[in-house]
Amino acid sequence: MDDLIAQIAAEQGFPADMVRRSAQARAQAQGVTIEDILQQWSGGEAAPAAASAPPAGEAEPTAPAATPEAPDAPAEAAEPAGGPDVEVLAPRESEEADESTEGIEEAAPLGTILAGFPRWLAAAFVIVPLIAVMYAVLAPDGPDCGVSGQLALDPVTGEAENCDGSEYGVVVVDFFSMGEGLYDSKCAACHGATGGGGAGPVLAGGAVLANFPAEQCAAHIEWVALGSAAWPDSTYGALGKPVGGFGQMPGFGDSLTEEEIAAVTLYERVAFGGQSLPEAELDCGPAGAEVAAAP
Amino acid sequence: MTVDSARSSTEEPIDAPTLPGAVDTTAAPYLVTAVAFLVLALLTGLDAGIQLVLPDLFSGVSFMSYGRLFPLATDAFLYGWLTIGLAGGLLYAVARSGLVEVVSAREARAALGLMALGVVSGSVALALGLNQGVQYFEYPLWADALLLVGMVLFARVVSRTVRSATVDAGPVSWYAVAAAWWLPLAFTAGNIPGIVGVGGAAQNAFARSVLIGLWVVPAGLAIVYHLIARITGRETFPPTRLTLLGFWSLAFVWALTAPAALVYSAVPDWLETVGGIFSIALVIPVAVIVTDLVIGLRHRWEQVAGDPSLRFVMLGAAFFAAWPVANLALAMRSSSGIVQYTDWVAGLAVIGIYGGFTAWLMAFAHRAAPKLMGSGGGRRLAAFQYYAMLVGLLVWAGASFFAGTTAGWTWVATANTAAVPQGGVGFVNTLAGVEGFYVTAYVGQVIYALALLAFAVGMLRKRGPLPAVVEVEVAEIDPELALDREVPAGRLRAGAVALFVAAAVVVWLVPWAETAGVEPSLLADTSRDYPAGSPEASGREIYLAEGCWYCHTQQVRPIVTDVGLGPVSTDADFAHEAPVMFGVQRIGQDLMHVGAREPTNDTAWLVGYLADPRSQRSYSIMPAYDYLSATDLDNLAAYVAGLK
Repeated sequence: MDDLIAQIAAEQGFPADMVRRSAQARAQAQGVTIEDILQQWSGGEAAPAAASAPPAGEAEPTAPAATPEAPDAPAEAAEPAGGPDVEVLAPRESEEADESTEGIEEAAPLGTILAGFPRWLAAAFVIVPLIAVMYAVLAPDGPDCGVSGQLALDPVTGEAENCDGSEYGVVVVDFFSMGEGLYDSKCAACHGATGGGGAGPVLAGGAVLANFPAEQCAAHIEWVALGSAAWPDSTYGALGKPVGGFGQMPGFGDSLTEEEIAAVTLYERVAFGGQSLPEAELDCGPAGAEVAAAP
Repeated sequence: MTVDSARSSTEEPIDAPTLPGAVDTTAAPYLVTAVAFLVLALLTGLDAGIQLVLPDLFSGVSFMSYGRLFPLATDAFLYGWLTIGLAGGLLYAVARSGLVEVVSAREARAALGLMALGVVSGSVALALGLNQGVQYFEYPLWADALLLVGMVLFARVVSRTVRSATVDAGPVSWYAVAAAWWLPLAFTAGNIPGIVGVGGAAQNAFARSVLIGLWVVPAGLAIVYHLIARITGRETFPPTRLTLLGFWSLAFVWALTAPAALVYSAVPDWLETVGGIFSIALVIPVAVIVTDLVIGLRHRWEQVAGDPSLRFVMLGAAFFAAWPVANLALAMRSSSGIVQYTDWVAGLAVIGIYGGFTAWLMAFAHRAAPKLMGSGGGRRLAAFQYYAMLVGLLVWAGASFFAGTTAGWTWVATANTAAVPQGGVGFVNTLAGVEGFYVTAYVGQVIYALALLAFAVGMLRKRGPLPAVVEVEVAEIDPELALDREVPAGRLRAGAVALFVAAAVVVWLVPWAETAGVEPSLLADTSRDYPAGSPEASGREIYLAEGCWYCHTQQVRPIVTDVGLGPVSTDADFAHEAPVMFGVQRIGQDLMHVGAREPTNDTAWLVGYLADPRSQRSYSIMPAYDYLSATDLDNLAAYVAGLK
């Protein structure tokens, strides 16, 4: 027996004790004697080869049979260890092996790798890397400002700010446009679309500023808010015009917010009174100033 | 310990005790030790978790403080239960698949002793407040040394056992050899101390990623491939080209997903992009591996559906498949801005560490305990464990994911509004909406813990003979998919180590080198650089030791979510710190500029607040630090108030 082991060890290039141990395990597994196993291994045909018999860890396969280029070599068909009801590797018909080899040689490399894979999985091999590459190409250094919550940085304080350099969370409202819209819907019916008057007095041509001059925007706002009915005095404005002298002025304090009334007065004073916008903004208080608002 | 010969006749022939490997019981003490640590981890985890709901429950007891218990429970779970348990599973799988006995059972026992000693001493150290300040690598270096020597010994045993195998065990041996060597590499990478600046954050992200992706996952897969082969009546799993592709793609991709944890932080932008690319790509190895496992079970469902361990294999596979999806939310910039630093992070750990990977280890325990120790829970107890664990996990993870998205959207919606500032008192309003989720998550955690405690009890219970094994028809695998070559173990190990090193270079060493020489910013010089021995320096030590950084971040990102927290952080701001305190979650407010806000800029107020938070703010869930000495409290307050 030792001779046989030595012979196999020399042929296969494995240490003798490894061959012995291997043969013992194999014999136990298959329920035959060690001699049978050794005879089989030294027999030449159905050589154990590197693929199945003593795999011996890191040893490089000595027989060319283990390379994929020669799948019809005996090692492929040899049934490695295991009881009668056990298969380690599905035995392959040599015909099948030949066919698949031909197919591999003809197909493109990708086809070779994906052969036999579930179709959806094969699709994932194309789609997933594509998405990954897109992610890298589209925004290698992160998203542009304004995308994905990304903000700009204030060069002085280092705090995050809006992309246009304004403070985040602070919204600038265009009060002139806001006032124009409100004037059209609430005031134009009496004072005319261009401030030319009607049921109410003329505002255009500076008339509005004559009664509520610069720096008296507060009085103007109060007049719009209260109207003639709730006005405490008998006259109003710098000209001392009599309340009710030109019909009743409705009060808008209940239907418009303070901010909206300020916006309307701002619009009237710029569009009809001829005041400059920055001056009117300063004059009419909150209108034009920054107002905190949720994003 | 020997297998009871009276019972062996009922075992399947391939596990017959006449075969070498089938009588090997080297894994038994690993399993017992792992179950003991599991109990410790579950009980401490429950004590930590309840403090998010009832913060005053253990007030005044230093070692029960959340910041000490939370890492103790996490690390006991990760190292004591998962690592030691999976190590035992690997020994079991490589011995039985390769039809050999474990080479040097003595060294295997020594490895177990060292690792167990490491976990015990590390746990004691954490309870005493010795925390290195790096997530998953909190144990002090002397405890790490014990663990590391044990890990290397263990890896040698696995390698030698696989080399001596009499049959080629295919995927079992690939994953076993690679995982066994990745473990000491990952552990070393995570514990190298003293890396100054954001390079340390890249290091920690990398080490955490490989500890899970290149140790826990492949070790679990080695066991799963062995179990599926045996459950389906095969000696070894017949490797297909899918199996091989799954192995190498997992080895290549997972480590490079590490920067997903650093999106929008003060690391180089290209690094975040790398994390994003590979987090997308991670879908491929996971899909390939899960498909391969399912193909391995094809045509055998009816025959094996009742197998107690198969249930846990498939539960694990399902959570494994969900992992890359949940991770993608953190990795993609658009969603990361919402869910990063929220309970989404906790949810990801729940479906991975506590979910899928634990289920794989339980599958091994259910299969192996009867053979190794003549014990086990039996089918009915196994069924209870399975359903209770599933329900617990779904509730726990589900509540965490909902809490995460809810908090994230609230942070975005309230950024910089006058009513609800992100910093200071306003922060609590952003968490008010998730309080219910915290309660729900804890209920899930309790159900989960009960299921696993039942498992632990079952593992110890002696049981009768095993039921006769169902005869399974062995179907051939698709010849087109069959792998027609061997994978030499030497090349495999070299490839595995090479991929590890390559990933370390890309996502850790290069970004470290890129940021190491950065000129410290004015902020770093004026308010984050402390002379040794100063109150601030001592306070920072306490901040690390008490685990403040599990609930408080120190990092302002350039996105809407963080508006109002102060100047955006850059790598130059952290140029004096080792380790950096980026943090894990925002259960409390961000502290990067906390010393620039009222009233936290006032040291005297802070001392009172830290000692008894609920006297100042009734809604606070911060632990009371009244167990610290007056000096320690003063130092901690000095450090916090100095963060301007």
